[in-house]
Amino acid sequence: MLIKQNNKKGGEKVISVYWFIILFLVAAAIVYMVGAFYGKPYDVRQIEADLLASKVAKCISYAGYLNEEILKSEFTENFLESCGITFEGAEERYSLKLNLTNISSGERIFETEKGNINLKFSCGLKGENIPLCLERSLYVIDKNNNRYRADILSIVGRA
Amino acid sequence: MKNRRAQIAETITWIFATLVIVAVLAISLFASSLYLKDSKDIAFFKRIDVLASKSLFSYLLTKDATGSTAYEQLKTQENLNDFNGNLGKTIFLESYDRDYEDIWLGFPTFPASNQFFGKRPTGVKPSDLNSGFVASISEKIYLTPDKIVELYLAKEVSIK
Repeated sequence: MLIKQNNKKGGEKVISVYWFIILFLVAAAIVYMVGAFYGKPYDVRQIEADLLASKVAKCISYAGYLNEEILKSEFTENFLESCGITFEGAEERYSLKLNLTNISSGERIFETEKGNINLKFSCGLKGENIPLCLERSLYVIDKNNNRYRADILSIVGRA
Repeated sequence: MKNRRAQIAETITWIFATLVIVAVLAISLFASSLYLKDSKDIAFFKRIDVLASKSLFSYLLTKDATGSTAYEQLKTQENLNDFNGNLGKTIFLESYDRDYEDIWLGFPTFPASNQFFGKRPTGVKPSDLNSGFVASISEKIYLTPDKIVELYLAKEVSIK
């Protein structure tokens, strides 16, 4: 009778070791999977680049007409500030380039580039850590019916 | 003897159970590591294109040699004419072809077709597009209460 009781206790102890091993295995797997899912960042560079292009478009065109302020030299110098954009604290991640061309004459009215100008050299390359380049165009006219095309290149690098 | 047999059976059950649990966890971890790359992509498609919308406004305000705007012409005419049709092609087909697969400008009411942009795309998902959808943007401007000019832009978006 005594032997029987001892055997039972031994069996329970062995099984409880298995229980603990499995418990730790399951816990470790849950921790890994949660970490893997929430630890990786969402890639929102496409949205960021699109927002930058939209912000520049709103700055240069209002109600279908060219914002004539942009033809002044101060605009080119303070392009970002004039459009209410700031790269403060993350200058190396962003780049914005704007070209304004008169469609009728083919004359380039101005070209300005702000942010990290080295990012543009990565455009066209492929790879996970390559900055995202978004090229968009905007058609706009002035009050004298002169036609312009604004080419916006917004680049967002990896955080 | 009976007690020992019971213990052996129970131990074997647990050994198999442990192997099964470890296998299930290993498969889950492998599958999740395959799915999760360096970063998570988002199937992103906007419902409004600010640049296309602004270009459409400027297009409608553009005057021809007689001083008549595209807006005035479209308001009174049955369909696109040489001036506003070619201007639309220059603006939208040349500037937005890298952003969209389908670009169409015209009157969306029957026959919804013109010589410059052809027939209006339907926006139906093609059969060869297995994991994705056709995302479209429709910019409509009322010329009169019954007459609309529409800029339709669409592209296929794949879900990763």
